[in-house]
Amino acid sequence: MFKKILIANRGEIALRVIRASREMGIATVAVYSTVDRGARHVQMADEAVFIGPAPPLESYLNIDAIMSAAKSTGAEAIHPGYGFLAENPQFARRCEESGLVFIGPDSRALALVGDKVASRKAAAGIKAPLIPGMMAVGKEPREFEEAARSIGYPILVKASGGGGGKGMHIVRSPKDLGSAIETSRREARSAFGDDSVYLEKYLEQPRHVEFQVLADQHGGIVHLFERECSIQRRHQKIMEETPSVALDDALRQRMGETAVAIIRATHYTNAGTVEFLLDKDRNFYFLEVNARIQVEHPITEMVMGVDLVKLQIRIASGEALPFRQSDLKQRGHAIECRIYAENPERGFLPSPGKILLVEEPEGPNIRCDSGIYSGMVVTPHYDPILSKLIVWSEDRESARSRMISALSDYVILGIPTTVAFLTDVVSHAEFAAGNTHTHFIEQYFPQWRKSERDSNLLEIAMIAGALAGSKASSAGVKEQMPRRPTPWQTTGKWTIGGS
Amino acid sequence: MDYEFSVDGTVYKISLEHAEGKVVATLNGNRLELDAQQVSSQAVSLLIDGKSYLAHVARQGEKILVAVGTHQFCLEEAEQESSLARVKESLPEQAEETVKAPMPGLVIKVNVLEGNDVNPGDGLIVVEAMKMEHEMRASFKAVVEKIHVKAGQQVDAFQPLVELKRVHE
Repeated sequence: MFKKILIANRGEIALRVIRASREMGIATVAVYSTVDRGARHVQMADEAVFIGPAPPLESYLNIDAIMSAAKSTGAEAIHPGYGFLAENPQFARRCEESGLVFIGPDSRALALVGDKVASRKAAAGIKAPLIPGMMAVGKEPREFEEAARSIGYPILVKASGGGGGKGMHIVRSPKDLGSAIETSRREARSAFGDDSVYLEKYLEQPRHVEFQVLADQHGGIVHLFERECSIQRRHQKIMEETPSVALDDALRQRMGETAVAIIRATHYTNAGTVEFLLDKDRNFYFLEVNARIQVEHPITEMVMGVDLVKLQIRIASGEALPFRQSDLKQRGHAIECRIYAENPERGFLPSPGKILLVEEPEGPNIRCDSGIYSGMVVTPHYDPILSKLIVWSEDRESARSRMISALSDYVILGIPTTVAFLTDVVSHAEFAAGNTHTHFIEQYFPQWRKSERDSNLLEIAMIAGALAGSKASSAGVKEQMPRRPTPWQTTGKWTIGGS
Repeated sequence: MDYEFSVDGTVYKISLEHAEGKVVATLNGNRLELDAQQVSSQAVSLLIDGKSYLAHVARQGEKILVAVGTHQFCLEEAEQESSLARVKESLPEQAEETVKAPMPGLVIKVNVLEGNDVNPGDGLIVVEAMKMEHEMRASFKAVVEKIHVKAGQQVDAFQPLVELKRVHE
């Protein structure tokens, strides 16, 4: 096993990896940019190395700086987390060349599954169901037009090197095809440095269902069942759950077997996720392989009773999987809500700023993977994810109630977040009924506004504000409050400092 | 002790008295007796008629942010003058010749006399409701033709207050 690993990431996922490593007796090295000197991953790691200015290209995407941090600290392996360099084959190759272990698949498998057209071909090779579409990137306009005609509208233009919804455009009529392709190319070039695009059939109201897989270096491959991630905004997930209400055992088994077959065909190792779309008639189609630990991995951990990050580290160090497919069973139900620094009242506009106060929920089977603290400044430079709230319970309905309860205990003051919005989503009758699809937010929450202000609560807020927040009374508090909270009457004289 | 908070442009006055271990809050003329305990520097526990509320509080410059459950409130604490000025600015100006009460309330001030010339932005009349003062202002050049109400008078919503006669230049 490794003695020391470097975590080439920040935020909650860096903390997640640091915790797993600590528990395994592995020393940790954090890396940080100018604006992250005060971040929690720097506080928590055994060592921390400065890697550059705030812009990601100069720090968290700066391969040279990260390689030299690993060398100078004597780290034996690098965990890339998600995002940043996690699915970058050049980075994996650099690690391989310098004798460092990249905790993830090897550079060749990364390159293969990162190329959507190549991975579609690999999936076709094992006869996995594919969304009807082009099997190669298009070049000439006529090529696209013919493909679109044979696939049938609506069509989705996708970037071959893409992800996170970037470069993706829906085309409903032939006259819009040319301009959508141009836009996709432009976006893909600036986001991924590769402007190849292809066409796929666009499915109306599908569910997003993905399978977690683990593959060791000795040929062992298992899946750890599904996660349904249909609740999305801007093609990005904001809430996930497992199991999916849309699967029965037979369908679950077929999808799981397909996921394992794709992983085997691509010679992929370590943790990965095979994504599918499920249409209304419960036909499933292979979408892509995500070659990283997923943001939503905790819900799988909750229902499977495993630690995926520790398993990633064990697999990377050469250990064999500690279980076989027949050992694995889902137990209970888990839901995750992603808490973002975004304003849901303003089209999920990022809302960087200073967090003045954080109070996180607690209670049985409530897990909060958080990267924030009271007083932390959320910078505009990186992904706006603040934390993930995960709950587990015996069944879906009790997990849903637990999530609503936990969200109501989640206090973040200072910047707009998605907490109240997510509460409304989890409380929605159609979510309760399990009628989820990838356009759920657009359909049911097109113009979300905070619920009507309860005048009772406004009174409560003003009384509390007067007691604890007002300048006049806070002078009194400082003079009068003993260190330990005591009953109100003993503090007395709140009027001191006032008129 | 009296406090004045502006919440989304509305000014509320609240007074808190401390007696026999209880806090008495007066808001909109309503008296509320409660048990308040500051449980940390940024949290207050309130018991009102046996109901328990936990409020988290943080200062952000001149603002006080308060969370009660998933509900958040932004209270602006300001000197009386400036907070009222802000409220006045945020009110829409009267575009019609008949100036009507925006809500049921009390006329607390009449700033003009019949026959006065008024310019756009001039204050005409101030109506108070729910501890919130609304100043009705002229939006065009006019002569005050008729004043229907006087200070101290209760008015209903949309009751005519002042008639203006537009002056065309």
